[in-house]
Amino acid sequence: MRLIRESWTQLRRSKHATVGVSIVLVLVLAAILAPVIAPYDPYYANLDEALEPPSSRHLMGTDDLGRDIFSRVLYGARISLQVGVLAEVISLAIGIAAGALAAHYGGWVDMTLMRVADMFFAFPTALFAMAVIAVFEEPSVTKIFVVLGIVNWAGIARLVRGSLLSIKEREFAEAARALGVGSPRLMVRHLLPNALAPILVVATIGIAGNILTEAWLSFLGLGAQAPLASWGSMITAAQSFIYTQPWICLCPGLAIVITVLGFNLLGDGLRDILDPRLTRSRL
Amino acid sequence: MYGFILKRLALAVPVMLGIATIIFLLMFFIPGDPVRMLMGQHGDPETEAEIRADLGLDKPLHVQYFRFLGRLLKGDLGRSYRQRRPVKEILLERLPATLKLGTAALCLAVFFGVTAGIIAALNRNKPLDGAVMVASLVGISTPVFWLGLMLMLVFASRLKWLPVAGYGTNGDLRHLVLPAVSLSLVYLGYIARITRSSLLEVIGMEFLRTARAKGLGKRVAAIKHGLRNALIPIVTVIGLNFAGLLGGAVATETVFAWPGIGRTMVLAIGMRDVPVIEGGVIILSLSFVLINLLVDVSYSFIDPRIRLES
Repeated sequence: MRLIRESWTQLRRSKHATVGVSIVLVLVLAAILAPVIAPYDPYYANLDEALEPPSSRHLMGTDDLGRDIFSRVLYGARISLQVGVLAEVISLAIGIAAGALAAHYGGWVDMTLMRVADMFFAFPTALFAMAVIAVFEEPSVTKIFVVLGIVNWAGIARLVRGSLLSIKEREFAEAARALGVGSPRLMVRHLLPNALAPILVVATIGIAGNILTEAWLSFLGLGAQAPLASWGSMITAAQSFIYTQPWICLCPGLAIVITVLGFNLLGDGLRDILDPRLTRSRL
Repeated sequence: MYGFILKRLALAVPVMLGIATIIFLLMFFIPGDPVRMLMGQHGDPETEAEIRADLGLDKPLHVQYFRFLGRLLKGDLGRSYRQRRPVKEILLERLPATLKLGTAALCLAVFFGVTAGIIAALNRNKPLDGAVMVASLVGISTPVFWLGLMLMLVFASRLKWLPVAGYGTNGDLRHLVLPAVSLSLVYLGYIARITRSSLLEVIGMEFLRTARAKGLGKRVAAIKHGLRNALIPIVTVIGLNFAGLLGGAVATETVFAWPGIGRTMVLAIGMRDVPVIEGGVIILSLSFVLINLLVDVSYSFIDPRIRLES
């Protein structure tokens, strides 16, 4: 509890972080409570109420099959957050492991790992994810987050390696070594926790990127398959009605913007709080 | 100077080789047999074996791999399953449209992005700075394809200022406006943010104080002396986010029925025409590698010290 209160006080120091964390919290709650909040079954088609504009009965209107868009947007949050977070967890696992190995062993291990990371850095990773997913017969949400997680580790590996190399030389690390702390323990208990701040920033912004890429892949027909409600695929379906019933397209798009903005704001704010390097200079 | 460029070029080779290798492995291990796809429903075992031998699919993995690399070096990207013609031919036909769209978006993004970044930096911590920064963050957070649809709704359908979609007949640039603007906006946000922060970083430095002391105005000093020294991170971000521009182009072309490589790839996805998808990815990846090569080389023009170090 004290930890939560302390982190909140820290977060309050940045306006960006406060707004960002609020948006993210509301979204997480909406995703978890979707079955409770959603006024309708997101998959229930009711052709009598098809293409209705937003009203008090249907907050965001209905789509061409008469499904309630508000309920579908709520359920869509589950997919977006799931892909965004799980893909980032995979990237973090690979990136931290690779970065720590490179920093710890140095020499040819470091060389090899960093050259591989360079290569991934030189790929347009989203396009690559597209190529990989496109060759599967059945695209799915799981495939998206696994593939996105695997292609996006390089930045984290570089960052972890860089900060570990500088932390390794600091006095407290030397003290721990002098006390006879073994290498694995030193890495996990002393070095990595001190490298956590920049990783947190990059991971938060990474989640935002993953959510955008998921929406993009779903829009291209490579993501969640019907009848699953993903924001990207909802927009694909809404394209035909853009002139006559624009709300079908508007709402899922706004949901994407707000979600991605939330994570970007949080990442930005965290950077401001954790990195006071930006000097106050004026021309 | 040439040595420097050659060194960078040499570094790009393993990257392209890596991309080609992964593409090859993907093609090799995909579920679904290309021969069956080529033959369709009917086909006797004999013809099947013939086609297999013809395509070299009966050879072991490593033989196929080197043949694939050899073909790539000659610029051969294989044949489309559906259109029955070389992938290279299909994609080359589409390249000009993508280049046109990409160049237009890039120019818009760089020009307006740098301008917005300068304005924000000069008005640091004032409302104008805040507005530019919030706007660019919203821009970064917006999916390109959705933005395209919204612009289309407002400017083409409601206001009827611009054509809805399509390529237009030659020379008609009105068709280019909406796709280029929607594609540039995301990129623009990144450029504005990095321009602001790297300008702010040099603004405290002594050479700028000197420029101010010799009587240069605030704006002139920032643009003439500051921007030049803040250019390296800006150019880097332009290179790194070029991947986003490529992905965005795929979506934008789809939304606006723009006859470029991206739209061709999306149509190929729908038909599971794997060689076209992979060929498109190879071409777009190549352009990404080339742009970043250009960025690396440009460092030495921006900052002569970098040239000396190499």
